Amino acid sequence: MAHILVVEDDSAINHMICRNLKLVGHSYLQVFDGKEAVKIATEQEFDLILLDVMLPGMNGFEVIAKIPFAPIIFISAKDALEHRLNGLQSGADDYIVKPFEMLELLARIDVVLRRTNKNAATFSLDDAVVNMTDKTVKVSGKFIDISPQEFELLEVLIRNQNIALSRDKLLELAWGYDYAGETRTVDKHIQKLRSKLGWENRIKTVFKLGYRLEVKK
Amino acid sequence: MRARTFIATYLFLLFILFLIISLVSLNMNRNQINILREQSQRDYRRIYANLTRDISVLYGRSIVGINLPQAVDALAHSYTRHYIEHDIHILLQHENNFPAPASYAEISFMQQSDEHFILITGYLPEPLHFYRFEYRLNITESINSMQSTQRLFLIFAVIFSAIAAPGLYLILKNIFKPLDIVAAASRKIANEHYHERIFVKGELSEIATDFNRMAEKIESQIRQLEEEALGKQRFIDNFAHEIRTPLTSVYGNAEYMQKALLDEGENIIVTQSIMDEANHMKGIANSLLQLATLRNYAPVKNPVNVARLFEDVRQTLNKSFRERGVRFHCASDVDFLFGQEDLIKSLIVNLCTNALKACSANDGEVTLKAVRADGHAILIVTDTGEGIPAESLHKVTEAFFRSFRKSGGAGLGLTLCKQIADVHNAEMHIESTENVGTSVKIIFTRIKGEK
Repeated sequence: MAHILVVEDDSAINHMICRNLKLVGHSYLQVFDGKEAVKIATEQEFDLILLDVMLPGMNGFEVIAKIPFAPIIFISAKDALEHRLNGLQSGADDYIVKPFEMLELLARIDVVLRRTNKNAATFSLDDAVVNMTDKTVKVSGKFIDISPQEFELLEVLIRNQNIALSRDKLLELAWGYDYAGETRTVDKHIQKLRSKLGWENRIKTVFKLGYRLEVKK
Repeated sequence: MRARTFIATYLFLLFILFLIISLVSLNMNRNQINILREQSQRDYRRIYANLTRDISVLYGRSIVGINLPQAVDALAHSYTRHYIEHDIHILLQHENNFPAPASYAEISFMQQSDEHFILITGYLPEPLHFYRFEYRLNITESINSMQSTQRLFLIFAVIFSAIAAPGLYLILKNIFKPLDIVAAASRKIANEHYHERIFVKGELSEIATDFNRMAEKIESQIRQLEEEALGKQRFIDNFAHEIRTPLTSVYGNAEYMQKALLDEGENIIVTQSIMDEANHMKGIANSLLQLATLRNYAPVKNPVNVARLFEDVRQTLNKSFRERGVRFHCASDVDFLFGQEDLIKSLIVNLCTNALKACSANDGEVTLKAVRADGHAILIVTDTGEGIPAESLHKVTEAFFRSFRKSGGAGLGLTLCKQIADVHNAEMHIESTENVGTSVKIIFTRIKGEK
């Protein structure tokens, strides 16, 4: 989907972020210090840079000043307001504080990508082709009927592919925070998506957790 | 404040001035009056004596056919005429109702319209005591001249007062100038301009010196406080970072295990990562605990056999050094060290581990030495590693400071070393040149009885 540069000196976190990026279909490049980040970012183009603030040699603010324009999300252990403001004022698109949930990071990545139009326009799996811009779905070359709410849910599943999402999380992401619906609503919509797109074996029910769109071969 | 001082001083000055003027003029007047009085008394006595003699002569002759009272009157008139030229008025009166024979004279001052007089009255001596003699001296001129002198004084006083006001103002301004400077500087210091100093010449330069000394003290104290506060803030920031980083990783990996579909290999990698991070946090917790315990710790000091201690350290570290391909040398010129053995071992192991991390793999050398110089036992750990940048040299003993992060550790090692050195009253010196190497010295205090 998008090509992302991950700048984080802590290798455990760097690997973990990359594992998750890979899971939802992004490609990535790992860098562990500021100087290397500047070098790579000037040589290559990225759809997004995830940038740790506390880096050895050169900190995140120094890095951001030296690289050509690219969407940037700061990752930092400092959550004081002034640090956040500093981060956002230096030109970052977002600022996320450690420890964070992976789903949150993915959601924020998604927001930035959508804003910069770097999100993939289509997603195809098996016979189904989902057009994210037009919000249409073709199965075996034919448009199918899909309600806006079903599409919303479909989009959430695609963005978080290979990740199990609880019914509550799905409600929150696809229906919105203030939706007071029941989790059974989710089940009904999932059933419809499965049958409409022919994804009975793709949208898996995960025991005690929820649903997962499995894209891995 | 200044206006009040000015007014008070000014009023005081005027008060003194007027007091002096009035005292002087009063005294002058009194003298003048006394002179007049004495002069008039002298005159009186002379004229009185002459007149008495002349009248006595008249009476003594008793010339027949002469009206005695008329003759006396004529005589008195001639006196009056004569003395009127000297501003003296003489009057002789025959009185039927005279008092008892007396020769005393009464002196008094009197004023008639604009004229001033000294009046002396008395009776001629017996047997002529039915004649009242009156002497009147016109002193208007003297009085007038006194008054004009007084006026002159007054005019002088007023002129002086007028001149004194600006003069006093200038003098006070000059006196207050250093105070103004001090006040301005104090205000600036109160507004956090701690570098403010004052320069005053003259008598008040001592105040300036004292003030500057105070300002210096304040400045250095404030700087120290600020540094301490910054250090604490850094500690908290770093601590948060050190804890959050592994937590993020642990949480993220657990989340990943729960929500993603993992194959066998991935499963092991992810769980291993969780375990590593947990271990790392355990390490931080242990080090912090050790630091807290050491803060006010009094070590149990015993003679430590240095050769054996070095051998112990070598055994502990041998494997790490071999794995990394870094050479490790030990040499001791000292037999015994006084200290708590486990702490000193921990200190040496920490220093050597740091030295090892600084060296590049398969090309480095770490030397551990113990020497005696000037009676002090000194432990020296030298490496041929990457060195520490000069600007961070003073921060390396600060908690969570790390010059090489990827090599793991929480950045508490040197903090711990410093703490151990401190509780042993030993000094820790770090010298480093980038890309050449680092040398850490632990200088133990001289022990009594040792040479």
